[in-house]
Amino acid sequence: MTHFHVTRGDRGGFTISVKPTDAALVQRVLEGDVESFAVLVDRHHERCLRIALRLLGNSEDAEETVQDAFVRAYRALGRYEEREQFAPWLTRILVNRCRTAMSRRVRHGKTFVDDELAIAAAPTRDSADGGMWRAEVERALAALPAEQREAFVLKHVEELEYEAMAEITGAGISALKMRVKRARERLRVLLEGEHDS
Amino acid sequence: MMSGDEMEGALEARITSALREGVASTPEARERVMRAIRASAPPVRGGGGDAEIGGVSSVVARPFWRTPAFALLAAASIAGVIALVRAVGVEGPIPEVPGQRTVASRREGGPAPQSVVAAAAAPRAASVVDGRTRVGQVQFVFVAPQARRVAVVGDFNDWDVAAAPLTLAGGVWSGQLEVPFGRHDYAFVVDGERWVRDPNAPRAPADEFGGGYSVLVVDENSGAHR
Repeated sequence: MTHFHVTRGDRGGFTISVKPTDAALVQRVLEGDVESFAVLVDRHHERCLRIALRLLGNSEDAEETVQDAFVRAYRALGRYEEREQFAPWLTRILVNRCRTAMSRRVRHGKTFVDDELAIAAAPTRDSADGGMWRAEVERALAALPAEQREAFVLKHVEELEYEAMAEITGAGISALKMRVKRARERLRVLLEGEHDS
Repeated sequence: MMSGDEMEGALEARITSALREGVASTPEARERVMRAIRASAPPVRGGGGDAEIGGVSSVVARPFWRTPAFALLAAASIAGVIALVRAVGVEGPIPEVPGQRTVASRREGGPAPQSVVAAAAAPRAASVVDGRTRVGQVQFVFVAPQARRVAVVGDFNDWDVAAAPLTLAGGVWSGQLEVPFGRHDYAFVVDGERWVRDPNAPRAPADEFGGGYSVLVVDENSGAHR
């Protein structure tokens, strides 16, 4: 299937651009056109990077994990079924890779900071107001248990429905709702003072 | 003046806004992905890929551990494990039972948790999935009646604590996995946080992660051995 996008030009004319669907691109890749995968990478890379960065809290790990997820998705493309949407399918792979990266980090001894005092004492990374606030939010997010962080990011950053989150994470909807609720409460406690100031 | 709900809403909006911003995908990063893709093996139609991606490959038959035959064999295996534990205690390895495969296992509980090696059936020693990877069936057994959950982690499942949970029956945690032929490092994870070696298995040399994990070899002759 192909999507046609019609846009109005500066001089009143119309431009029709053709954007193949993700499923059509997958089909092309399976027929041997590897470069069609580059379009999928262009479309989904930033969203994947955002998820990985928010889950892992480290841009280097995030980029590495996203690359790993794309490679695994490519190799498993024969198992992708068109009735599934490519984006949640890819996200499921990515979330699994992030979990693996986190467990590796535990093996390295690089666990997330979960000590409020340590968080409070940590130096800010950016002196600009917006950057300072984002750094505070990132630190607070990193202080959440991994399951709550994952649920919060998928719900509030990626704005996914609970049904989609359940497909991606393998967790039940009620468990996910509870994780999101607890994450929101925890973030509120950690950030309320910063917000007021 | 804002109400409490309005303040909460404003705070959450600021949080989510901050988390959505500040991430930019660069052409260089996307090109690095594509370089890795071009260097990768091509996808296989209708099968292959990674087990974690979900579902069972159409090339792979229904996992043996989900069949009624396995239920019977598993029951017999567990009984065998317990009987063997009683017979030899927990001091040393249990000899392999003819016609059965050695499995990775550990006993835990009591004042000083110790391990045993147990024998259990591995009826399908080897098979081929996705036309390339040869796998052996390995049954993992861990005796820990007090544990709330036990999982096997290893290089064959990327050390993912969620990938291979064991099932509890009669105080024995067990599960059968398809493990690719070759040498693998593995460990058990108890209650999601405690990593436990199988001390009766050879120990891997230390690596950058600290190392010292147990070693399992899956090959043509043995299906699985350590």
